[in-house]
Amino acid sequence: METPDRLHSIKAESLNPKYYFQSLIEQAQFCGLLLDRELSVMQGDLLLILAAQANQWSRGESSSIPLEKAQDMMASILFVIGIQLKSYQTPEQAIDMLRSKPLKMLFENGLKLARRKMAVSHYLQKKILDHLLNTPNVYYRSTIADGINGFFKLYRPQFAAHEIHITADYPVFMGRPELEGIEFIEKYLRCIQAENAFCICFAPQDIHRLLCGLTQDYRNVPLNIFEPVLLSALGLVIQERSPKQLDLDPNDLPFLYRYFSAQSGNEVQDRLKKALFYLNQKMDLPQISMQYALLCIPKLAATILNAVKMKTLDKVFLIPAYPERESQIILSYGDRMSDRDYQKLVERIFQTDSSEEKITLILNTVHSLADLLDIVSDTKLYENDFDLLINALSPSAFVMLLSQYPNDDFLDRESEQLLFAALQKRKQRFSMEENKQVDQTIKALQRDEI
Amino acid sequence: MDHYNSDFALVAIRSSFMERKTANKILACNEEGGKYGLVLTEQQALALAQTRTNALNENKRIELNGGIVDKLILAFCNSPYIEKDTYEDTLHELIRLFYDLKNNTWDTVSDNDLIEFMKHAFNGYCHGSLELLSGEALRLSEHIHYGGTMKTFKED
Repeated sequence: METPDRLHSIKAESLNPKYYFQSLIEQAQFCGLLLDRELSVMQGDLLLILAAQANQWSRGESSSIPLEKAQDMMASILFVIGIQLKSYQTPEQAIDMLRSKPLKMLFENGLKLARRKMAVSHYLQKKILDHLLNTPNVYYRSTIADGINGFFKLYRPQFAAHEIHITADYPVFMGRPELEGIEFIEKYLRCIQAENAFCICFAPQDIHRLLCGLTQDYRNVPLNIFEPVLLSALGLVIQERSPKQLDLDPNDLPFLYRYFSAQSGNEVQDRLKKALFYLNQKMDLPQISMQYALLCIPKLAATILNAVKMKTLDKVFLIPAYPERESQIILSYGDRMSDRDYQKLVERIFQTDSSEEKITLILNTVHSLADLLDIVSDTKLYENDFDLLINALSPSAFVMLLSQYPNDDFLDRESEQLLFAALQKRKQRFSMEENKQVDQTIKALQRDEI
Repeated sequence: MDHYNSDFALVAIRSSFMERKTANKILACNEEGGKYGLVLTEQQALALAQTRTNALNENKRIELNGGIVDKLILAFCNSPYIEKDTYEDTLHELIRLFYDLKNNTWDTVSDNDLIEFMKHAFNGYCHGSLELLSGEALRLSEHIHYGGTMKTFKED
């Protein structure tokens, strides 16, 4: 075999993990490790593999295929060969294999590796699900269980090994792996495995409170759970407190500001590493989580440095919130009156001229919000009537009505517009503190927490 | 970063080498066509190979295994509606129609079934009219689009 003149060796970091084969060829040519003639032979071999694949795809019934399908198949072939090439210790070794072994053999071995990775990923997913963190965050379980199951259902390494098929919504701390196909899924699951193993060292209720400190709506937000848990635990051990409850309080923040301010990136990383080893001593973390957390240190340090600079450390070291301690308001729609009584009331309101009398009648007879909403739409009340009625309502009934009309969008009927205006007039007379309470209650009503 | 694409090897398929290879296959059919007085010159064979390349490009398709032009010639050369003067022009049209139909039937019909359908319709209901054959092809495509198959398609 003719040997090309070697200019210099390939730098592994110059290779693209997503398009490994293509980038290896490019670099090999650049470094003088591959002859043009060898490249032409490879192109011919690739076409033969593609032809065989296309034949298999069409079950031998079609000599032509759509170009788009051919491009997809070629992307898959290149990806599969890339998997095999990555298994060699150095890029030079991979090039040697490319030059000495038939491409078809590398493709077939790559396909075996892809299938092996599928089995490993299946196993990883099962292991994670066996001990999945109990969290109300919908993205967590739905991605790890349903999303990944969807992947396995759709994944066909034979013709589309480079496809991911799913959106993988749950964000892992280290970021979306820059990989394709089964390599992406395997790496993604390994990250989740390490993060999950770490998180289950803490009580789900403590993690829930910690995340409530960020937002009580966190169940519907695609946020990473591992990061705030790890940072909270590190923040606690830095202050020589027990990390177990993840219970930093606002008084801890000034200390953490002082601890991390005026530090370089490397110094912050050193301090975090030290804290992590101390945390490991205290909690005996799973080895996989410990290794993963060490890899996360540079990113964590950057986040902390930025927060110190922006004075937003409270968004990094979260202070838990205790929603269960907040007072609960119990509001009920009440019992509706009978249709006969309702009809009688409507007739009496129509017969009454004075606003005061109308409102007294309504307040004395109506005991349910549903009836009240019907009355204001079925009887012809004027602006003055609405003002009187709204001002006479109890605070709870007022807030309940307000929550039904949060804005004047789509209010077509005149009665609804007058009701909305009257509600706003009363709200405008509230103090800032009262308005805050009203808004909180409305939010809770909208979340069905009341 | 992602400047790598999968056309890495596909470009080679469209080389003039492929056209030469197709032309040779076409010329090899002269033996059978000669029985019916239908013989193509080398120039005509190259022109047909060029039509094949154009039809593949227009339909965004790629041919990897064998090709169908020779199959088409062998299927149609004994047609009572093809004469020496119209032989080449008819073949140009049939090649275009084939790849068009392959796309429009969403790759659900095999090459052999499609050629058999074209031959049967051309020699039967269409009485050698390429215009009527195009109409039949359209009807087959619609049938497939409505969930039908080649087997359930009934000719008029």
